[in-house]
Formats: sequence, C-alpha cells, structure tokens
Amino acid sequence: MDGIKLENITYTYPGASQPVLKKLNLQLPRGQWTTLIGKNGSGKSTIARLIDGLLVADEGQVIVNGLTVTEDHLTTLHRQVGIVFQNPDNQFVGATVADDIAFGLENQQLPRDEMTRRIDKALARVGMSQLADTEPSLLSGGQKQRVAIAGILALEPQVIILDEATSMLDPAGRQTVLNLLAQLRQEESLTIITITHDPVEMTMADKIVVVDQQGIADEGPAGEILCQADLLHRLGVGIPVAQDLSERLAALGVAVPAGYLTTNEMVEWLCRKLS
Amino acid sequence: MTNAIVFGSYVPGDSRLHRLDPRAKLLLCIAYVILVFFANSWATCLLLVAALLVTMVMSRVSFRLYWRGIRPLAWIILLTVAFQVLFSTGGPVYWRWWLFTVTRDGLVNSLIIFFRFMVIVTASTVLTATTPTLRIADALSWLMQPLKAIKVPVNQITLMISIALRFIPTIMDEAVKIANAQRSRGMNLDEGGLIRRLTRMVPILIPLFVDSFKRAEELATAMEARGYDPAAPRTHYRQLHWYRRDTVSLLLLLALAVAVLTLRFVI
Amino acid sequence: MPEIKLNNVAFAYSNSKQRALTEVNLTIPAGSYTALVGHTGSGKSTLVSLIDGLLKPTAGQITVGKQTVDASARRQDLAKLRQHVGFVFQFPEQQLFAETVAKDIAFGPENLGWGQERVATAVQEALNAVGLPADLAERSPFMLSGGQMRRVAIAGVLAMQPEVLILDEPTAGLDAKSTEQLLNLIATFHQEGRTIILITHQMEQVARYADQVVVMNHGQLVTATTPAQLFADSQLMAANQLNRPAAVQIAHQLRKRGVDLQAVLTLDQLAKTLAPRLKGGTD
Repeated sequence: MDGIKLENITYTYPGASQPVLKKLNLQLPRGQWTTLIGKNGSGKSTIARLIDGLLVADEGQVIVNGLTVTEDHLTTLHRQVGIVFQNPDNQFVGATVADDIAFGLENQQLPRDEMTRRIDKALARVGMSQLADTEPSLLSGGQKQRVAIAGILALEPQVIILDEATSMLDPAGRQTVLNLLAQLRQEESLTIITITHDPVEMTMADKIVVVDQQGIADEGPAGEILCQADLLHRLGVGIPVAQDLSERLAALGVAVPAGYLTTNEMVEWLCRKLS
Repeated sequence: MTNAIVFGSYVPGDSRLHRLDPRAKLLLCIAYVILVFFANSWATCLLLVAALLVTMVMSRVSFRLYWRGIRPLAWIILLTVAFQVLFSTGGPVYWRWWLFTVTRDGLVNSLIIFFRFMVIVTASTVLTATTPTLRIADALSWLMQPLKAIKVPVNQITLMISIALRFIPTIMDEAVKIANAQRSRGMNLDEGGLIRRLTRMVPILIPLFVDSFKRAEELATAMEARGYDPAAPRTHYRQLHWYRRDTVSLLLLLALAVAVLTLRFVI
Repeated sequence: MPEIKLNNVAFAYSNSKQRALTEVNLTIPAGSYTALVGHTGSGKSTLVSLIDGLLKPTAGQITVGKQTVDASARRQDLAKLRQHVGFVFQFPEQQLFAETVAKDIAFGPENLGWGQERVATAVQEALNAVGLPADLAERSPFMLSGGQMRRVAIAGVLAMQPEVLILDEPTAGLDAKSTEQLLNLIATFHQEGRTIILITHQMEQVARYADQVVVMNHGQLVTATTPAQLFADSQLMAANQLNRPAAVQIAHQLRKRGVDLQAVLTLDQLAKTLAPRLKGGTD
C-alpha cells in the first residue's frame, strides 16, 4: 500500500488530561504535497511525529508506504521519513555543512565513499555545493534549513515533512526554501508534508488538511480550503492575498467570483472587469 | 555576532604545521609537555625553547596572534610565579618582610615554573592555532579508542564533545542578546561588589539555561529523527590520513627527546 | 516628547575592521511611527542598539531628547538614553526569568529605582496595556503560551514607561491572528503618543502603519522617506532586496495591463479604489 495512512489514532501527551488526537483517520497519497493547518496546539506536529515514529500512538496504527510504525521498524522509518524542524539552529548537529549532512548517513552506517557521493549530490540539489566546509555560525537561517533538507535528501527518503520550517526565516530565506520545495515536488515519488501558517506556502500544496478539535475538521484540494475565509480566520492562519482582496471587495458590495483564485487569476479577472 | 578572539582559537592557514595529521600534532604536543618536566638545566631549557620557536615560525602564524592567545593567561602565570617567589623557602635569604621571604631556591623554582607554564601554554596554543577544534576532537577520539576495552563509551563522548563545540558560538550569541535585553531594561552589571554582581547575573543565567534546555531537547528529537541510536554502531565521515611527514615529525620529536634526556641523565 | 537625531554616526565592532555602520544621518520625529527595513545584516540592529545606548558610536553624535552621546560618552551617559527608550528584542519571551509574571515585569521599573507603590502600579498598567488579565500576575511566565509570554516580555518594557519604543521583528514566529492583535496593540501605543521604531521584513506592516520608512543596506542609510514614495520606486526596492506589499504589486500589474489606477499601499485601499468601478461595470 502506497502513501501514508493513519487509522483510528488516539494520542495523549504524558501528563495531559485530554488526548490531543482522538480516533483520527487520515490518508495521504504518495507523491503529493499536503499541508496541515490548524491552531497552535491542535496536534499538527503530533501527526508529523507519529508518522516518523518519534511518538507512538496510544491506539490505532500508522502505515508509511506499507510499513507499520512500530519500534522494530524505526531505523527504516527514520531513513524513509525526514523532518525539518522550526528552529534552524537546533537541528544542525555537524561542525560544518558536510559533516551535518553526513550525520544521518553515519547513523545508517554507510561506507565513506557512498557518503561522499551522496553528500555531493545532496549539496548540489539544494544549491549549496560552495559551502560544504562552512561552519553553521556563518550561515543564514535559510541556508541552515536547506542544509537540513539536504541531510534528509541524502538519505534518499520517500517522505519529507517540514514542521513550520520557514516560520523563523526572513522573507529571502523563506523564498529560497519554498523554491527548493517547488523543485523537489517535480520528483513524483517524494511525498511532501508541510505544517504552516504562511498563506504563500499553503497555496503551493496539492491538498490541505485542517486539524482541529482532536481530529480532521476538513480536507480537500488547496483551492477548496483556501476560499473558506471564515475557516481560515477561525484557525488564525493567514489568508492568501487574492482571497483577502476578494473578501474586501465583496464586503463593499462587489460581486466577486466564487471559489479560489490565484493572484494572477485575480489580476486577470480585475482586468477583464475594468477594461 | 561575537567573534572575540579567545584562548585557543584556530588561525586558518596552509603551513606545514597546519597540514600535519591532528593525531600527530596531539601526540607531539603531549610528548613535548612531558619533556618540559624533564628540563632542569639551561641547556635543556634552551633546546626546548628553540624547538618551540622553530615550530612557531613554521606555523606561519604571527607572533602577535600567539601573544593575543596567551595574554589572557598571563595574569595567572604571573600570580603563580609571584606566589612562588614570595613564599618558598630554602637556600640563602635575599630579602625578608613580614610573611614574605625571597630566597635563592624560591627564585630558581619560580623561574622554572614560569618557564614551564609559558612553554606549555605556548605549545598548546600552537596546536590549537594550527588545528581546527573539530580535528582535535577527532584526534582525541582516536587517542581514547583503547578505553573502549574498559567499556568507556568513547564514540558517544566524542559526539558529545563535537556537539558542545558546535554550540558554543550559538550560545555565546544568545548570552550577548539576553544580556543586552536586560541591560536595556536597566540592569547594571558594573556596580557593586562581587556578590551583588553575581546575583545580577541571575536575569541572564536563567533565560540562558531555559534556552539551552530547550535547544537540547529539540536537538535530541532532531537527532533521533535522523536515525541516531546511541547503542548502534556508526560509520565516520571525517577520516584522518597519516602521511610520511607525520612519521617524520614524530621522529624529529624523538630526536629532541633523546637530546633532552641525555643532557639530563647522562651528562 | 523626545526627538531622535543621529549626526554622522559610525560604528565599528572592536574586533572587526569593517564598519557595521557608516555616516548615518537621521531624524526620527517625536511621535512618529518609523519602520526600519533592509535585509539581514544591513545594520538595522546596530542602529537601534546605538539609539538605546547599548553600543557607543565610534564617531558622530546621537541625541535622544536632551541627552546627547558621542564617542567619548561614559557608561552612565549611555544609560541615560535608556530612560527614554524601551527596546523589545526579537523573540523577547526568551529574556523572561522571574518566578512570577509580576516580578518579571517589575524588573525594569525596580532597576530605575522607583518606589514599591509606583512599581506595583506600573506593573498593573503594563499588564493591562498588553491585554493580559490581572490574575496572570502571580503565575509563572514559563507556564504561559508562546503568545502570552511575548506579551509579558513587552509589558516588561512598557512598564518602564518609555517615550520611544523600539520593536525588533515583534511578530516573528506568531500566527496570523496573534500577529494582527500585536500590530493593533503597537498601533495603540503609537496613538497614545509614543514614538515607535519598528524593525520589520514585512512590507505590509510598513504600508499599513509607518509614516516614515528608513532603508538600510551594508551599514549605510539608503533613504528615509514615506512608504508611498519608497514603494513607488521599483529600482530602489530591488536594489535593496525589498519586496513590494501585495497591494502595490497587484496595482502595478493592473497598471501594466492598461488599468488607470492611483497609488495604493494596502489591500484595503485597493479594494476601496476598485469597488466603485467594479460595481459600475457589472450593473
């Protein structure tokens, strides 16, 4: 069975009175880009950690590309699923860029020749070959996150998860990371999962899943979710620019097209109406 | 951004000394330090100083930079020497006042201590100036390998050291930032006695600890996600290469050792 | 109300030959809302650290109100700048340290040497000003949510009753809703008469709130102008790696396609400009 499947998942954090997720069911097809959105503390990160086996569900099971998440499969799982976390500094283990990418490969006990080959390739893919011997203190946040992505790519994974990985970056850094992701999605076998509050990042996804009140509140193609302004407001996430404008126009009594428009589509529509 | 020059920081370069295998340099440094304790005459001391000066010149690191590295320790050295001069006894007395006496033995001893201190500090500065900290950690790990036989978790310890080294600049930056934030809230670190100054550190230290714990926790999760298992074996990307020049350097040191020991015990 | 004036200010870190800041001349009028923009490492943080007296200029004079400092200033002189200026650092929640929220907020006022009663009142007012309930005062700041912790940290600066408030990326890492609330809060501080200096990467924030925008690049002040003028100059924007706000971008695209449109800064203005014409077209 391809893709990721969460079946009847319940998870309670130690010491918490309420489960954060309750009887949750979710299916993410292989090779798609899914974005999880929801309020802080709604359990989005918990889902990411359950998929990577960093947390083990109280009930239910998680299946990643046919592999059930259990203690016995953790080594395979950590190779197949990579997570980029929020703080660029706190996931940089190596003393240099190359050393950091090597970290995961060393854990997989790969021979050195293979490591060198994979590090070179991963660095080229994230556009950082020039900086292989650079120390982390000389890198920008965006560069560190690209190193984190390279560290995952070097493991030749099937799933890559970005848990608010762009939220601490400046706009330039965020843009380079998002460009890199857009480039990676071309590889149809790679499943991308992002957790974000950023409307631009949301519009890039194929599918959006709304996590709320211990479960999945809604899911669907990105356009379908992004045109529900009320929902986005309630969740506290950002609203895509075109949607924001269309909402303001509607409030002023303009008959706007129903459904989601990209910024370009919005400009098109305005031009048609105004000329 | 803090890039203050601290004791033992690396000075990038491409001299013969820079290119030596860190294991060779570490062994040389240790052997040299041991030799220093055998030096008891003008001849032996001069020989060792000469050898050190040659290596310093070969490192192509300016003496000014070496001095900057050693300077912070100068106070400790001077204090120890002064202590030795004023309090040790034996031999003819040159000067006496209250508790203090200056004797010939005291002078000789303090001279020897001064010599040892300076030479050892300088030698280790040569090592750290020509070898990135990370490579020294690699060499240390190699040196500790035999300890595995007595169940010392050498690999975990070395990984721990290299992560600690990696996070020093990050945490230094954080400390500066927090100190600035508290200064901006009117905290004054420069007034009052020692105790008052120490209690004033609390608003800096607590946030720094909280932050470091958070970092450690996140780092542990990230490492686990990347497949780190302390119990499992790992391969190593960083590999050290031993060349003929490394063997030659050890042979040179051997020659120096023979010379010093002959001067000490035979002649 | 203090005016801030920088006259030929330069700054270099002692261990670096490169100047972090060169020949900055700038006036920040009392009561203005000044945005400070520029890419990471452009000298924004150095500039505000100088205004707050955390750094001493290597050349030039900095005047805040009646207090002027230059390269010869003593520590106490620099500290006097801070009597007027409050500085909310990036991720300020990381500076919290006390057992209770109230004690943490009281730290600044106590350092100013205020009496107990005055401190207590200041703490109450600050909590109130950042929109936190009074019963939070006796809780541990470390038990609060991230957004609440940030408010406590801001309250800690507000309690010192500064006339100038510097905020370095105050909304970094917050979700859209908390960002909106915090920006409204800052706008209130401004309406109450404080001078606001906002460091930000978000041009939307500049467009919506600032009356003056200062662009920094490589330690130099590129320009100090109005947001409208800055966003109209696409060359200047590009040269300093600044993004245009969404509304400006859409308006620009429309204009390129032949739609005659006046200058707008925010989506709200854009909608108000377009609405009558769109309605006219449909009916």
